[in-house]
Amino acid sequence: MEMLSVQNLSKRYEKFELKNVSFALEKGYIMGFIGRNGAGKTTTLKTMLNLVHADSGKAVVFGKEFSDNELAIKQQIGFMFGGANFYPKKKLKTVTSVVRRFYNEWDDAAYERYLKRFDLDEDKKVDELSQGMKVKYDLTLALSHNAKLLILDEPTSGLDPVSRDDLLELFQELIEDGERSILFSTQITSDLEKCADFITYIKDGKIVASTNKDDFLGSYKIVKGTVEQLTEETKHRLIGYKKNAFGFAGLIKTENLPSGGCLDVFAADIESIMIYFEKEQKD
Amino acid sequence: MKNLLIKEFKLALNPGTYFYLACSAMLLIPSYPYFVAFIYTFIGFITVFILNRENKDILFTASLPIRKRDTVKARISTIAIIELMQIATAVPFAVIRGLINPEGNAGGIDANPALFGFVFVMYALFNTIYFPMFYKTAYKVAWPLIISCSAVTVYIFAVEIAVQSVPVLKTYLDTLDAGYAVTQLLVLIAGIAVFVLSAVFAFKKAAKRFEKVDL
Amino acid sequence: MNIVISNTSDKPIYQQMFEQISAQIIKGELTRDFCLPPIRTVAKELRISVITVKKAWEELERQGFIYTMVGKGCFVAPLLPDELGSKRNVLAYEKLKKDIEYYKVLGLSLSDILDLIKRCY
Repeated sequence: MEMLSVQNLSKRYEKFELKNVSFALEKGYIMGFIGRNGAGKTTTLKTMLNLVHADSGKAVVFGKEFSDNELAIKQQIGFMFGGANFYPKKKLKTVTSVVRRFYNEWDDAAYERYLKRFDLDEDKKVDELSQGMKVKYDLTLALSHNAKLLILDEPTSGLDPVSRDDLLELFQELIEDGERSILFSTQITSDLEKCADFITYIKDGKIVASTNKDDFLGSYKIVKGTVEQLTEETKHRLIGYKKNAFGFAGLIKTENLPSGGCLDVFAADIESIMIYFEKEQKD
Repeated sequence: MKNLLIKEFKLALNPGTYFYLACSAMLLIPSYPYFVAFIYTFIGFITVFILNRENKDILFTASLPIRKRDTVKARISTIAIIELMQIATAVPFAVIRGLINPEGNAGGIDANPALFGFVFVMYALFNTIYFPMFYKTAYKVAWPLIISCSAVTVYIFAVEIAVQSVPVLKTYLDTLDAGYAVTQLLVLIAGIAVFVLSAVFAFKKAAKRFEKVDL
Repeated sequence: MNIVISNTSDKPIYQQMFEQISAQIIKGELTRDFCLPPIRTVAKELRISVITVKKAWEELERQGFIYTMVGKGCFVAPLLPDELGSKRNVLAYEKLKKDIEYYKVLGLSLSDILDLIKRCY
């Protein structure tokens, strides 16, 4: 079942444009949303959730159009933007006492369970929490109202490697029962290597690829060869390449691999795919 | 709506807001421009609006399952409630002042029903200008505050000057003489009407603008 | 059941899983009707994608190593000794075929290769 389907979202700003963004996320999976700073990740998420008005296109959540069913859908999703630093001087229990009122399916038992699980102290103030704890508190709120779809904007930014790993492990745990889905944006490619089932890659407001991680990785290869091998024809096949004194390395679509096999071919990781894409056809 | 009001009072307001209610006691000062007792609360509002921007109140609220226009309604209602609280706390002081000091106020309009009517209009003026302006961006706090507070200042001077210099107004409105109570009560009722209408107008206009804002 | 995943290997993860589990079945370390852990649990434990595990399981099923009972999970297929033998040969054949391609590129003749195999074995 599709939890989320984004269809041809477009939004034009003076200096930036989101162009026909489409992707879909099935129930029970984690989708990582990558792109550079300013590629349009946050704008996409905000436009999906109607925080930003789309010029055209729509988001369908749980099979219903978001903008027509906003309140009902929001009951069942959890979302988090920009580090979740709301009301830093308030105690967690004060924030919770307010938030819980808005949700029909608020579950106090689940709330207590997650507090304990994440070692959160309700009597602490929001700004006394570390960045990782803040994200966990936000997740606690989302999970306690039984959110089926979590939409998280850069939840791992500002976390040290250990807390980041911890959080990603938690994501996988959350989808283990197959009932929930997570869409999270990040610029850290290792986040995706660690826990994403699907990858959506956005560049300059356009979706470059949106597919499962294995296919994403499988559809690109790194090729290396000598400077002489970097002919015009080879250049034409490459998505991007880098030249050095002893040869070149480049990214190629697996289907465009030249036959004959004189170039060295390596598996590509997400980071190199991204780097070569962003260096598209430059010397 | 009730939940949103609870949110406003528990999360959005800072304790300082209530501190300014104590300024109502300034009505006990024998000779003083009594409007001043009612304007300190604006400092409370300014703190709320600025702090809320820092606290990303708008984004937090937008993440809740509520209608966007209801956040505007809740915010305007909250500010209106505080304005009413400010006026309500001032009433006993006005009464006490009248009892212990039957002398008129040499510093401005007397603490009579007409003054309260003018204060209602003052708050109405602030609400009408501030909210529609702020919700145009839901981010820029300074200009709406500067413009609305300037308008309030001009209004206060205008009322005081008019009452002091126009003999009819002076006679009817700047007195504690119970003989003029009816006229003063009419001013009060008119003030309340303007206050209510302005809140509705401010909400309609602000909500319409806020709906269009990209957060 | 043991699975060791290498993230730096050129081999896709699902392939690594398939090879390791099928080898354990052939060697008799996993016997018939052994219940494989749920896909989502494996994914969580190994910190890999659910889809990758699914793919590995599908491959195991396609090649007859395991069978699925809807709602219950995946089990090691009841294989007769000669079936195991032939599956083992198929796997060895596939691997050898790939390796021999490489030896050919290096210019080794059949007897060179046989020689090398004898020396290594």
